[in-house]
Amino acid sequence: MTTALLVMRKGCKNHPDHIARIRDLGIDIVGVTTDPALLADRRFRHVEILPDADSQSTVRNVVAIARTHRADFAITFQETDIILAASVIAALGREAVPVEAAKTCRSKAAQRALFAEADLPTVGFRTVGSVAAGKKAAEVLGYPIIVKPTSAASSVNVSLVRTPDELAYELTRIQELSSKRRGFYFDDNDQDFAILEEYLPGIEVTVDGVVVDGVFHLGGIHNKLHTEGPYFEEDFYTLPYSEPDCEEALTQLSAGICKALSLQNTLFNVECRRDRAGTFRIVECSCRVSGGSVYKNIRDVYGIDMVGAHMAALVPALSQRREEFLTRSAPARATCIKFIYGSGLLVSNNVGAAINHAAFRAYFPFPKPGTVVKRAPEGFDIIGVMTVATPEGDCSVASVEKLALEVADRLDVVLR
Amino acid sequence: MAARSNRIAIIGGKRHTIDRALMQGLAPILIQHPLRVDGDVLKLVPQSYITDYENDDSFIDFLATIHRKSPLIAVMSLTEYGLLPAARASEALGLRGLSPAVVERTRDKLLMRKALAEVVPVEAAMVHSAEDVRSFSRRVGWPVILKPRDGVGSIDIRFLRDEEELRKVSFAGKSYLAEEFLVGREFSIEAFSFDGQHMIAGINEETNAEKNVFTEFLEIAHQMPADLPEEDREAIGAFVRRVLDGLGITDGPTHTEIILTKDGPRLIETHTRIAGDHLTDLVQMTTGIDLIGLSVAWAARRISAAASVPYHRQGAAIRYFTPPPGRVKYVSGVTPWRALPGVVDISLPVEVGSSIKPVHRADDRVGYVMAVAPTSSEAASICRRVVDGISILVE
Repeated sequence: MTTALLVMRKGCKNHPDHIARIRDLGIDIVGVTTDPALLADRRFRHVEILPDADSQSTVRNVVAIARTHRADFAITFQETDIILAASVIAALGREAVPVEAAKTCRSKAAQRALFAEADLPTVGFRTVGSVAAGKKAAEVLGYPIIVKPTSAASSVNVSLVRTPDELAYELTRIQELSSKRRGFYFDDNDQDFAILEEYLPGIEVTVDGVVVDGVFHLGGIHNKLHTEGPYFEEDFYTLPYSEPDCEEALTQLSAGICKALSLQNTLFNVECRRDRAGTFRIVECSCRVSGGSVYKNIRDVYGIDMVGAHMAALVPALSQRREEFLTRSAPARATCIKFIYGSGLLVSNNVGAAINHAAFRAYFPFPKPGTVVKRAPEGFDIIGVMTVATPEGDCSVASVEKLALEVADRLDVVLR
Repeated sequence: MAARSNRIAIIGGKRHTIDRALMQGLAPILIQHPLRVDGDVLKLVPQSYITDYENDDSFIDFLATIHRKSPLIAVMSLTEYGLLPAARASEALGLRGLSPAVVERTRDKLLMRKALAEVVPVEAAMVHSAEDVRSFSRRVGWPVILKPRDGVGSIDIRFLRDEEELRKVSFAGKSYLAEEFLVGREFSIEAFSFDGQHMIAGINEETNAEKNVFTEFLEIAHQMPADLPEEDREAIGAFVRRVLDGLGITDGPTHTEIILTKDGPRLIETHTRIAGDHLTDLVQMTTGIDLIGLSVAWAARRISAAASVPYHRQGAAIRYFTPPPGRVKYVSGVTPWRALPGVVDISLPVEVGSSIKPVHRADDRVGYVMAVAPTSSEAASICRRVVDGISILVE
């Protein structure tokens, strides 16, 4: 029996389809987490709760767990654990993601440097470790400018600022996030806590795929809601991609990044945005796929099974199924991931009557009822993420967006 | 890409289950018992097969034929007597679902006790005669509970306080499962399992035995969420998870009944289905979770596991009318009571001349009132007020 070490210090709840697929393929899972609730989770053969420790000790601990439980390889679906997982894979002697590549993915500054070196189109940027340094850097880059934490996700605390005062305000907020080390976003060694980035006014897309033996295979490209700031709440991740003519170019761009990072076997994700001239430039990348329903939606729309293909690359007994998992077909339907935002005291956060809508596919509620939530600009709380799909044969993005609004109305999300 | 099937077979499907499947864009194929056929439901489904599915497996051949032409997503049931046939059909067709062995462990109370002997010990033994009961009582003391090994709905459950009551029991070839009598408050727990992860959707406190009710074990009122300190709530949740794991239950709804004794929770029984007595309505009123819709959606794997965070935002209660047996000579008006704040539903299908049977089983109760309020105790008080306020006089 093959054993996978699933390294997810947090976030297991948001990846049920990914985990179910590993089990469906007959692979045993040993979980490494900080969430005690997983101790009773029957999906795992064994669950180990990690003690709070510095980065190096954590790697040593997880490698020891991997060896104790005879794990054949390690995997994570969680952005904040990609370095840890890569370190364990390296210690187990497997070729998948070089640790340096994972470290690059966790640092927006290192990514940008790599893109520049590899002659890949990216955005102008400066990293800063203080408000004063930020103001100085902004004078060089010019306003308006994007401000974001160096190591966060889901557009948390990402904003578009137009003046030095706005910049100072946003940098102070990010500094606070950094000092709290919330959700493992920031590592022990983070000096520069924020990144200032050239503002690209065009549309943004997310590319997800899988690297098998060094070759990037496209899974799907999600359209995203286009906003012009000042804050960037994520919303309306839809499939199929509405500009299929650009698919090949984005695939080549992604393949270029994977080559520059020397990735061998991994899931992979890239975010790109069009500049004023209409050219796609890389905003950021990571050696994982997006969470929630992204993996399943890509599978439902295009047939390609990214997690299956990744497992086939790592498990010899599944190697003959690689082609089957990597087969990508014309779109079969449309899907939409709708983010639920709001401000107030959360009284209820359930799927409610949405479950009986024919288009409903999933709802991932995040904060528990009783929590006070705030949306931008006061906060960046996501109440939940819902997925809907059109019937087979209907590939209209407009239809699925309309359905998302209709089904979201039926969620049992009550704010006071 | 091959077209994905939307066909789901539902055994013993009631109107509410068929409705949910249709709302979810599924094509339900109904397997129904001849005595439970509802013509209105038959009109809703694209295909149906009428057979005594508890004793006749021919429906599996029928489903296999359909499955070969256009694959079924799942075979499911939410009714007690359809659970085992659904498990057998799923196994025969190679579909996801609980195995027949797991379902049998919940249908057969002796198998259940054996499977859980180490997890949740309750003294139990099969008894075939009065002497067997005496022998059992010498070991565990009086009172003793006797129940049919495969019974449901509190039917034929005996509560024997002493030797004298034992003498009234006629075994006449019948066997019972004898169990020690558990002392404490009684609760039922409505849970839902996703791939081995168990979500506790609601803990309900049951009230048994009332005037005019001829059995101590029939529920006449429920209130949700049960009024419990947090540590008891957590202990009950952890206990139910151990029970479900111990029985190998990984997916779908469960209805578990327990007694909270001074030594902690002890199991009465569990079932791999939704509860009766409108408890799914109480769950929906208190948490917003539709357990029937969830059951259909998860069986068809339309949804991912993370769908809900159970949280009680209000209390709800139901109370049954239990008038004395006889012929009804007067029923006071129901309509004004419907306007009482908090009342959700009153069902009282009796009229002058109706015959009221002695209440021995769930079906003998003549109607109910459901209510919501900020707390379940307040909801229960509203129900009590309505039941006490509506006069049903018999002769």
